[in-house]
Amino acid sequence: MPLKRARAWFAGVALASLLGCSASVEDQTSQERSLLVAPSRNDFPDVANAMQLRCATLDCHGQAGRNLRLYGYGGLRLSPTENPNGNPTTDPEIAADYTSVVGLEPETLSAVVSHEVDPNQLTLVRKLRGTERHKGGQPAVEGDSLDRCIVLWLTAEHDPNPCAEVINAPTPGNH
Amino acid sequence: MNATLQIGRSLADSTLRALLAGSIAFGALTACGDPVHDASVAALGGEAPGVPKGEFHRPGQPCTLCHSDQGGAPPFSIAGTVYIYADSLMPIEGVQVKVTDSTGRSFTTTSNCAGNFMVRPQEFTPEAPLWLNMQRDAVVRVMNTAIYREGSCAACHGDPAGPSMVGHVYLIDDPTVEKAPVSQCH
Repeated sequence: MPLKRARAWFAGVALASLLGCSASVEDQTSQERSLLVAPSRNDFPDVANAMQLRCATLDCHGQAGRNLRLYGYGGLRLSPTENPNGNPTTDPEIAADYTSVVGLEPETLSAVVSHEVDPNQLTLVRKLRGTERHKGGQPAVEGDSLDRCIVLWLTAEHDPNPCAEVINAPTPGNH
Repeated sequence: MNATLQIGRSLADSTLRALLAGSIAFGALTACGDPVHDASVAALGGEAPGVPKGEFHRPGQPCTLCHSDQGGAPPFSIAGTVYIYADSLMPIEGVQVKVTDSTGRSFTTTSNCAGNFMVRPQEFTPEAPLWLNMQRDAVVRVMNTAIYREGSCAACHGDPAGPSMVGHVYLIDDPTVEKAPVSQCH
């Protein structure tokens, strides 16, 4: 009897651990992964151009060593023949930026896009708002143009206006 | 009895000494250095012959690698080197470099005969992001992007220019339009 009970206990533990692990990313099938949703690719150029100015300089996310690696004019270039002061940001660079952003925390991002969780669940948003340690400081305050540009896009409510406000903002030192 | 006490005491002394020596050796071996920073400094190489340490040394190098709390040399908020042309490493003095920070405060410093300029924290501790422009005589050059973190111009403005490097800082963009200033330096 004790042996049978022990066997049943081990079987129970094994089953529980299998069930427990089944939700992990590693165990997801490609079909399950494809169920994740991402923010709009079509709307992303507005966001990319705003992020380019405020996040992607060579001393910040315009570096190959960053998890959130951003390409574009004024920063890191995708083409080996291009340089930061060369041509305007290219479509392949915007595509690479999109991949970089949506690849950071895909499951949480999917939940944010679907309005299942608050955008603050994303490290990207917490660092943007300075509520999580960010070596680059606090690039945005909740509700300002950069914040709305990025967060509205993340929550599938994209509005190009706040992104344009970021892009067209005067730079105080250049007069 | 006394002999036993003395032996005990000397054993305790030698144990303490051994512990102390071991702790010092362990501390020396596991000192909190930064090997990445050390390697970056070493990669800069030695001083140029005939140029002593000072305001004229190491033009074009990332100043704040050493001139920072981590580097040990007197810290700079921001520092760099200005050359005349994009395709030449001829330095230019007398260029006024104006740094404006996110609060709207600004500070202007001037490049010396090595082209070097520096802003010390006691003069100005800017709050990022920063914007820079340079002027000498009628020539004005404005930096395209803001600076968010880096205090060394050369960290991004190095040669050769490439996907992650802008190329060195220069004043004259088009010699046919902008008149190059005459240097008074030897």
